[in-house]
Amino acid sequence: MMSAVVRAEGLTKRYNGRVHALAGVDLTVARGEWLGVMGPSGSGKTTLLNLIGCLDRPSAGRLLIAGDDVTTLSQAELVRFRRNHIGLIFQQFHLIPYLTALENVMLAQYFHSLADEAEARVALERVGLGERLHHLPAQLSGGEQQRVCIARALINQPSLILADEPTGNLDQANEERVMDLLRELHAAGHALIVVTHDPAIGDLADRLIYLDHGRVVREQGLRPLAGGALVR
Amino acid sequence: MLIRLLGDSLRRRTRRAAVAILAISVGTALAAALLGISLDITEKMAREMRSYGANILATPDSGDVQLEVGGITIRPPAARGGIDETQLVKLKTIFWRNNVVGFAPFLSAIVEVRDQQVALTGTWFDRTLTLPAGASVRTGADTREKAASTSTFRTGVRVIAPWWQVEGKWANDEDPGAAMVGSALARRLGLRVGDAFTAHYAGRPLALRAVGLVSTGGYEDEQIFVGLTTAQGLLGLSRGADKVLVSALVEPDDRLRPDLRGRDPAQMTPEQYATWYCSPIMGAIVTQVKEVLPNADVRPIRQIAEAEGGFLSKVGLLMTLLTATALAASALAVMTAMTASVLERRTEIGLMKAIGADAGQIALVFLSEAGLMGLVGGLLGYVAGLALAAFVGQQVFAAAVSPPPAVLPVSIALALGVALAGSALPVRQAVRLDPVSLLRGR
Amino acid sequence: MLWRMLRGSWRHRRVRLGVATLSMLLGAAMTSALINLSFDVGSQTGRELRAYGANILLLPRGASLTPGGTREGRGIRERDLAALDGIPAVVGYAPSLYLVADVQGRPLAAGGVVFERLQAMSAWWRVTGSWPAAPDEALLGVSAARSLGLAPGDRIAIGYHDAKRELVVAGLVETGGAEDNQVLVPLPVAQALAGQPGQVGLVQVSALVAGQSLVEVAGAIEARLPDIQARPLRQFAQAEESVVAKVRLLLALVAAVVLGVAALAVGSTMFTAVVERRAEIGLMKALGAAERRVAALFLADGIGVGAIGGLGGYAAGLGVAALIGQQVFHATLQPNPLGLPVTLAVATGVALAASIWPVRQALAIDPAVILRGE
Ligand SMILES: Nc1ncnc2c1ncn2[C@@H]1O[C@H](COP(=O)(O)OP(=O)(O)OP(=O)(O)O)[C@@H](O)[C@H]1O
Ligand SMILES: [Mg+2]
Repeated sequence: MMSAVVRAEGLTKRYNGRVHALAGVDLTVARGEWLGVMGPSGSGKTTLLNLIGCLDRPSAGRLLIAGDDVTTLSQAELVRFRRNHIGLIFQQFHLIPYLTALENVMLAQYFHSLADEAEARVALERVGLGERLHHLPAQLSGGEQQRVCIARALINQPSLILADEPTGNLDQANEERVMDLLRELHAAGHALIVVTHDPAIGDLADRLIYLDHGRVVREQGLRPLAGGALVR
Repeated sequence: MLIRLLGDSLRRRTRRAAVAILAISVGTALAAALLGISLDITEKMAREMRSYGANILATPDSGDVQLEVGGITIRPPAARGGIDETQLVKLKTIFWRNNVVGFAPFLSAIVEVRDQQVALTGTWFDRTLTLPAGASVRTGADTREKAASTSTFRTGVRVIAPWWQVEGKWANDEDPGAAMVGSALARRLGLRVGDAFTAHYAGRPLALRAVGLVSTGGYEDEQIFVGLTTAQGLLGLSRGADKVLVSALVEPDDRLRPDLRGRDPAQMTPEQYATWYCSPIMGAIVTQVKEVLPNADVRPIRQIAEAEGGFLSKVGLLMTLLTATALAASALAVMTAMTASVLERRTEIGLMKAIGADAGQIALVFLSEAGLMGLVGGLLGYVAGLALAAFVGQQVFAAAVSPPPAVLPVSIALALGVALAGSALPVRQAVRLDPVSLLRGR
Repeated sequence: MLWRMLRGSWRHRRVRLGVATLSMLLGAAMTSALINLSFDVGSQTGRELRAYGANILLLPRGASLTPGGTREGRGIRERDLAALDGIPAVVGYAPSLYLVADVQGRPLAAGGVVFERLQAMSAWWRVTGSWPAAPDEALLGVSAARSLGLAPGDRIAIGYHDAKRELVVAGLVETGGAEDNQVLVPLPVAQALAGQPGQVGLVQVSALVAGQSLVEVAGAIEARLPDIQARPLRQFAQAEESVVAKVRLLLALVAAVVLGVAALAVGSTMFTAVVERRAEIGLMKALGAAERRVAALFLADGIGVGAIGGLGGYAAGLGVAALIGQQVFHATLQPNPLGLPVTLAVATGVALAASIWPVRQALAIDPAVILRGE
């Protein structure tokens, strides 16, 4: 299946050899697909995302992203791979406190290739922060910070965007805005994996999986994929 | 972007950055101050040691056995006045002329005063000599030049023997009747300040007046001192002295280039000899004094010279060890501070890794920041260190210490090196860790 | 609860606390090293100079250093000199009896000396051959040896008035001073020649100038030996006193500088350690903690770091001082009794002072502002 962005087989993550955070997950995400991940706390959602985001290495199993087996990549190759293919959105935003909104976005460009202020400005305007370019994170509301985080995630045109409870810290109105943005990203052709506790966001996904105790316990196709790819 | 990143980091994290820079500059200040002091201390202490008086002795070159008692040499009349005192001004033309603090000629005779045999010594008390413009002065082992301008300098006993305690006045060199009498002798002869007395030499009388009484605790307490010309007149000489004492600033032999230490100058190559000749050590200065006093036997006064050398080496070693300790301690302290400031920012490193920065990029960001802080802190510390060294120099030696220019690059390099080393370690460690644990907080 | 919180916080912040303690330790080590050094180094450098000749001369009362040697008849009784051992500042003394003797038919100054005592005060003497050990051995000045044509091992005849002795030249001495033209013989030989058994004419005394001036030492000697005049040699007295004072002052100032620098470095580390935890302070306040409680928690931290770092640093500094003393003076330095209290006081004082300000500031700020970050 060449159009798969993510292809996981028997993905397992153990901590300290005992805690099975993930226990043999098989998963495929097609190009441009939006996958929702839900499940109770401690079920391994963040762990799965970290593995797919190449932030962490699986204890066992195979993981292919954009056709490359990332389990065989070296640390340095993982970094290069991540900056070319993946955008990350965190629940805690993780912005650098002493950089302005604009600079936080430019930082990702800088690590990727070259910082381009105009492009970063466009990205922030796209998330509705055209007016707040030069504010520090501490001067932004949680929702605004999350939008900076989204702008930063999409600035390098990644084929896959990973979001871990992107609205977990936000109110209704901000949640709406973030959801709109995610929809736009999806429409623009980015594949999305969104971890959430919120059924409303889960419902936006093309497909939804439920994790419990590190296993996929349920899977639900919500709508057919554009390319007619099969839902397993 | 890197510059922007550094600028923002330093500007918006002012307090943290300030603390790190403070730590660096404080460490550098200590290093620079101690380096400056310890590199200059030998010279300063050498000057201090000059309060010991003369350390070089020149006597007429005669192979005969001498009877030296009570601090004066009893010589046969034919051998008197072997050193021409008019040549002494040439001591200020030798290569190390500025190290010659002072000198004085001495000419002694045993005279009879109030039926007692006493030693009478002619000398220079306080003379101002003039070296005319155009005099030929040494500029190297075999180079000379003409002095550009006339120079004057003070010399005599008053300069080389600051420990003389005088009751009354110092005698005037030009006054043929003025005498300074040793305090023990004066007590014995019943002389007081202002008293007149007559000294007899070979039946000739010499009318003198005790303008001052000298006490030193040594042989001087038993002698009579008069102007050199007066003593020469008494002995029937037109010129000449039989002893010259020279007080010169001398640094210990361990300041000599290591490969020349303990070697016989006569066996050196011309290049080595030139270096030896231009080092401010006893051997070189004695050689140079010999060059201007050709028919004198010139020797270091070893009691003084070696006490001085030994002492200076000790003090030098002491300061060197202290400086090394302080350097090590401040380097460690700065490294610790830098390590702490990087440790504090591990989450940031984790985030940078998560959004795609590789190890090199992260290292570049953090190390250039450390480098910048090292540079700024090093400069500030250097300036503060100079001020500290100057303060200490002023307090201890009442003279500014003049640290060699090498202290600047050394201080900066040190600050930079230590700041970089202190950051490199934790950055390396953080870069190795996986971003997940860094982002989770620990 | 305070203890529990401290334990938790210490375990949790091992690295930071380690860093703070280390920096405290370094500062305290430098401080303690210098305090210990500056206490003893003045006297050590003074002692160094004492190997280079006497700085006090003892003469019989009323006698003088005349060209003919000391007056005959009146002398110092050799056995009285034992009283000098009771004066702590006196590090050595060498009695002598000088005569103008007839040596191999020529007039030469001959000194009767106690060689072991003289040797300890004569670091600059260069002896070829050996120092005399037997009662019939003499040390001959190099210049005298040259003109008399004598070498070590040769016999030398010394006469004074009617008395005459024959000795063996054990070695030749070069001092660059008067001794080069003298012959030195064992004291009993000179006493026998002069017909003055048990008498000496001159005693060279080497006294430390640490603590008291040479004039005071001379006074103490005269008080114990009433028939003697003690003359400080102003040349050495003045020079030594000034040089030793300079070294002392230098070390004291360097110690002060190091102290200041160490305090600054330690202070800044503690300061950051507290500033870093401002959020924690905000949180505690938000949870309703009384300001005193919060302050106590943080100041306890400071005291802990100060005490541990101060103690460790004191020990390390003592080691450094001992090492330097051994290297420079080949002597064990006496530790300064003030070292421990001063080092500890400085360490905890600085740690506290550096914590108080940021804690107070953090307490003054609205917790909401702190919790929001930066
Ligand atoms: N570093 C670690 N060491 C040990 N166990 C860990 C570690 N990280 C995560 N775990 C465990 O792995 C399991 C899965 O954690 P994960 O963070 O993936 O859960 P989650 O589904 O994201 O939960 P939540 O919805 O609460 O965020 C949990 O039981 C957690 O305790
Ligand atoms: Mg989670």
